[in-house]
Amino acid sequence: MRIASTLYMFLFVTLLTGCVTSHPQNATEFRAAVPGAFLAKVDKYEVTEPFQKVASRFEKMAPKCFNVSIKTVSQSTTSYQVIVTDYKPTVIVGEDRAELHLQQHHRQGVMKITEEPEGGYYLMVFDAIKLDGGNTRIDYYGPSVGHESIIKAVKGWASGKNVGCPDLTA
Amino acid sequence: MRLNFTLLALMNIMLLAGGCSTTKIYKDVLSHNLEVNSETDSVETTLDIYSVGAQCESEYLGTVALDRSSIELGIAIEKPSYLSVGFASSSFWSSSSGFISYDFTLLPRKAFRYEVDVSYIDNIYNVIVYEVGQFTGEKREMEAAELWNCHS
Repeated sequence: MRIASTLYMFLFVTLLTGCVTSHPQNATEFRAAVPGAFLAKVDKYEVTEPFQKVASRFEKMAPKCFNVSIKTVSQSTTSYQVIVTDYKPTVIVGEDRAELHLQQHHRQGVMKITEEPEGGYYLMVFDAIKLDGGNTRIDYYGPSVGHESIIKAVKGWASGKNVGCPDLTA
Repeated sequence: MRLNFTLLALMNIMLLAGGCSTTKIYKDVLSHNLEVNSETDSVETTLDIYSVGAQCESEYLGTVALDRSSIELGIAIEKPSYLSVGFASSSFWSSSSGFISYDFTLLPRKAFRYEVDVSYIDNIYNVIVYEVGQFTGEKREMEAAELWNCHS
């Protein structure tokens, strides 16, 4: 499972760059790169929570959940792999828009193939946008496969249901 | 400080994985001022307790298995304790395992008791710490900034 997700992450990072000449260096470049990238997607959904609550949960939960380092060990009869990953969240809140950027830096176990932005490669970006009528739209940019627990957790922050941190080892 | 605790946690994991367990049961001798309520699925949940000295040095005091929905225990008053809630998952069929923890430092005050709500449901975990006035019964969620730590 972990080997598969690591291979997937390698593919995601590789394919996001097109022919691996550069990698998105900020959230704007990341948003622009995702729609045309293999194994990546843009997903938009609406929640019936007011924007302020969503933004407030982004501010509260992102540092709580993502200021972490995760060590994973994968072992089979033919391989042994240790990966240490540092995550870095950034939350920017404006009047009617909140952004959550999630970056990851592999401290051990994964080869860097392009220039890495400060804080690590961009893994996901979530934009929360204030809508009329008290609802909020979430625009997700990131992998189309894997990392389900992160996507589910942020969906929980947006909807107010099962609010918590994703198990980044799952 | 962070490094020390990270090293401690890693050493514990390595020793446990190697079958040379350093885990000891927390010696609960003080009057109870901490209640841990847990609701989990598919993981083993534990609470490691460390005392924290003036220079931020830590001493491992023991572990409590959070194998019941509610557990009460006592921790030192007016002295910081470093608490680490650990969630351990394993899968026999894929021979994979995972461990993630949520760590915080609590400085318990006199005339207050503390409640910690721990959940792990469907790969989403949460730890919320409340301070409750023993006489007033007033209960409030503690902010992250209040969960005192040495490196802040």
